[in-house]
Amino acid sequence: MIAPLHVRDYACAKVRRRLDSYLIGELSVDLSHEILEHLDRCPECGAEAQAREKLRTSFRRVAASTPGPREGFEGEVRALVARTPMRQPLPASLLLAASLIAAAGMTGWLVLSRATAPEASKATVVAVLDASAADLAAFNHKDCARAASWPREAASAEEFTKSVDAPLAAAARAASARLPGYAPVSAHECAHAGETIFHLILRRRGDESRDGLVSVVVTRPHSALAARAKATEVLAASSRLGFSVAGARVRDGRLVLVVASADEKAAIEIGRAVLPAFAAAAAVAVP
Amino acid sequence: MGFFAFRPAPSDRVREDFDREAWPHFREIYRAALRLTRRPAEAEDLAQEVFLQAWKSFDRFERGTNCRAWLYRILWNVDHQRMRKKVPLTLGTEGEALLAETLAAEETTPTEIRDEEVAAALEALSEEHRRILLLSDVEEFTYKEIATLLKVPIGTVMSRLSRARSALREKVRGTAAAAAVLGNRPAAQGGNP
Repeated sequence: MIAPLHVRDYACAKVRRRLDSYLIGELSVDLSHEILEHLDRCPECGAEAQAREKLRTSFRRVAASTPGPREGFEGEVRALVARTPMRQPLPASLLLAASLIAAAGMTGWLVLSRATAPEASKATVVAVLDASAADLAAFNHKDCARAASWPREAASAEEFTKSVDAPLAAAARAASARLPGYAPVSAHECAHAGETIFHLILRRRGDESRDGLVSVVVTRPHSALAARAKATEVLAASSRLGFSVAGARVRDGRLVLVVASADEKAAIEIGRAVLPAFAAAAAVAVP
Repeated sequence: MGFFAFRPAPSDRVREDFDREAWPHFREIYRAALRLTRRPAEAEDLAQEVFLQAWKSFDRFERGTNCRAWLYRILWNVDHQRMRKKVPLTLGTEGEALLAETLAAEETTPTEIRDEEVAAALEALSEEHRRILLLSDVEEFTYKEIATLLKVPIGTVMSRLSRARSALREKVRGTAAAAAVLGNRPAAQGGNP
């Protein structure tokens, strides 16, 4: 072992701070050259560089000894993937509606809709979410909505919206009011795909199972998740977890997603009911 | 109907592409998952999820780019969701970063170390430190790639890595010293060449 060394020399201190970056080739040519020169003439730093490289090699050797998968596991996953469809197509009626709406040339903020729905006149374009956003939303639903034990009965309005901004709380109440079969059990902020999101959780009345839970996820304005959801793509995607995800971008670059254990059609219905409230809230909500 | 570019049912060709691009990385992704989770059962869940997600979104994989990196991004994202429930990944403060830099400048690294000691030191590291070291030294992602993966600036990657390396060196110093005291091997010689 090298004896503890109190590096007082400025050049040594500077080199040692950058030594690891130098060793993994992350420094510019000029800086690397500077360090190489120093290592050539400073035995202490040269030894330290060797010791660090040795440690890194040992670390890599330890990591490389990680065993591979058990026999047959790859085959199991291959079989599962072979049975899995790539992506769920949208229902034909929705496609037609989307085309009609798009053909009308309406752009701007987006609300889920169908041509036959009353909202169609107000609505603009059917948005299709980038599938990764949908996948992540489904994950959040699993992690938060399904992992936590939410109340079986609706909470009081004050209780379930006390931890969120007033406009979102108002939107949550308005959205809940538009979903006759469901009661709100929680409205809170949680983390989702590296972003803080507003998470409204509703429970189907009379259904105490986890399948009765529905999530409404609203991102903050100008969220990266929303940016990834391309306006002219996907509207509803069945997730691999057996959830359906429907959603749209609303004003200020917010993304609103509905995640439900129900089928796609039901998710879209729920989305259609709750999105206008959140779109309106997004216009006034505090970031 | 051209407005929506919906994907048709995957053709055999897409399956062939997936076979060629993704499956060769299966074992490596499993092993990376095992390094992250440390438990074979969890690693299996993770690897399976990665390949299911990869298959479902394979149309978004840009052909000709690095499929391993793409799979690893999925792995990291899936695992991140899993981790969030277990251990909140803490972000170091500026002060800690400064301290780590100072440590990196002052400390020395043992020259006589055994793999078992490094393995023990790794186990003793915090999850945050262990994971960022894996990304850099084992998976060999560049600072820039790690920054993209963790969604943090490059400077943050550098300071976190610096802290992690300092912590590893410190643990290794501890285990090496203990080994010497316990007589597992001769006390390391002091002094520099």
